[in-house]
Amino acid sequence: MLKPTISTYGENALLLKWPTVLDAKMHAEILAWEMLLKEQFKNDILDLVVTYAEMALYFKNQAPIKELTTFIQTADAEIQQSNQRKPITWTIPVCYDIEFAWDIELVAEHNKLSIAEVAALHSAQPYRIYFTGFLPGFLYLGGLPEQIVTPRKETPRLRIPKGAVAIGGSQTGIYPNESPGGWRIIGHTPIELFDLSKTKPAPFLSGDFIQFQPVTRDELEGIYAEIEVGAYQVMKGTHR
Amino acid sequence: MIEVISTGIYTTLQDQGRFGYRNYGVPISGPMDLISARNANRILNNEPNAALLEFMLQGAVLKFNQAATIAITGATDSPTLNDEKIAVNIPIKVQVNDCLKVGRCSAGSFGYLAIMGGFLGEKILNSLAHYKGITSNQRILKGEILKFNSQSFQALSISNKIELIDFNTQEIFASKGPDYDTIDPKTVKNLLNSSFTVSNEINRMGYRIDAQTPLEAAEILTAPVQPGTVQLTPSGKLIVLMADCQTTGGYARILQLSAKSRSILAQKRTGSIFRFKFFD
Repeated sequence: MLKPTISTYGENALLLKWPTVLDAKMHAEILAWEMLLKEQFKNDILDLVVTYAEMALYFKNQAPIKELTTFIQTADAEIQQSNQRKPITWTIPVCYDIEFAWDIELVAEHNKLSIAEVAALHSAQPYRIYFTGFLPGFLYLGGLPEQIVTPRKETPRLRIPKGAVAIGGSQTGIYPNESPGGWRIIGHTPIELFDLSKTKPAPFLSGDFIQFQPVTRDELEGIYAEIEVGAYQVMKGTHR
Repeated sequence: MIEVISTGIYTTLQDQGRFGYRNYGVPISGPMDLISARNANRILNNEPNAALLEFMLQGAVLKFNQAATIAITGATDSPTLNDEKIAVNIPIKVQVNDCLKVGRCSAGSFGYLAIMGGFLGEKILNSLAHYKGITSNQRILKGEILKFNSQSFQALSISNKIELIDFNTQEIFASKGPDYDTIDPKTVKNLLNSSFTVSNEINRMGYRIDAQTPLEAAEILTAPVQPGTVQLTPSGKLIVLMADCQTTGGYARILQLSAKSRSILAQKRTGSIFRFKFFD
């Protein structure tokens, strides 16, 4: 079990750093530490942000660096890891139809594949959710197949529509709201990724998985109709 | 009730910010100049989280349909009430039918108007702070009716100290950022020994800063950032993250400003020159 280095980060924050790598096993350990620290310092923590290899702890008042250092030295995060919530695989429908997939031809050409192959490769395996950042509800997903890695646009688009499913270098993600962006758009999902009417605006947690499920235009219309009447539920299962 | 006759250039409602949602990628928002905003609430004996108006460069014109006590702070230096000049940094009584012209933020970039009891507004994720995609509106609109908590009356207390800051200081104090130790010695030297200019790309998310001397840093694996984080881009420009900044970023975090330093920098306009100094 790797123990992080601890340093101050601004006035009331601490930054915990692990080796700078993108590694699912290490990230699972970081999440175990997150649970442990959240519990131990629950009255002091204002916000907690986990990324690939770091954790920022923002405190209400002065950061308790001494207590936290002692706690990390003595705590056993392995026990916690075994008690962690089982990761969930969320099935997210994606329509790869050319009408929404503005850049899927380019992604196919860049990688010498057909459009159908791009869609098939993109939806072949679940992606690990590392964290949420950049925009409210924007998930950083790991595990894009090498065969469909495509560089970002040099000049970002001013407007990427809400629900756009995109590839940016070796990352893939979903735009939860309309925003500027430089990623290559390869599909569209009708799923609301960030719902302000809920106390917890998104159900997806770091360590969960996203499985994209290709749907046709007709199926997409059907899902929109179900969402409209409140009958649609995102499919979820325990990750194996 | 208060009617917004004109909004100024970019007027928003701000409380201390939206906390507890940064793990969802939600920015904290809150005032650009935290010190001046805090002063405004302190003058009125408001609670620290009471919502106030933030003006950028030019203040609003407001018609009061209700008596109130207000305080104006920050870079605003020529407010008038019924066309009579009024003072800043003190409580001001406003009567029914009074017309307040907040005026220009000549001393810097941001001005604040607090009202006794605090402004009311749409609370989303535990905060009233305007932010695109979170609140219905991202700023105050012309013709909007502003409400405030007029039931609340605080006795004014002269013991509430305010902290006036010098917006013109050319020294911006910082501490080392998480990636400071990864930058090369030449960049370190240039960072500490040369002056910097505020560019024209400035907004509530961040200020781009032009360097006079070459600076270099590689991109990093996306990691936590916060308001006051100074990022160094591969093109050698600095970005100082401000109140509405994203929660994670991929540029090297070379310095970290305190809340006070960030407030001072926020008040600087395009073309302003400054240097970085380390806290002792």
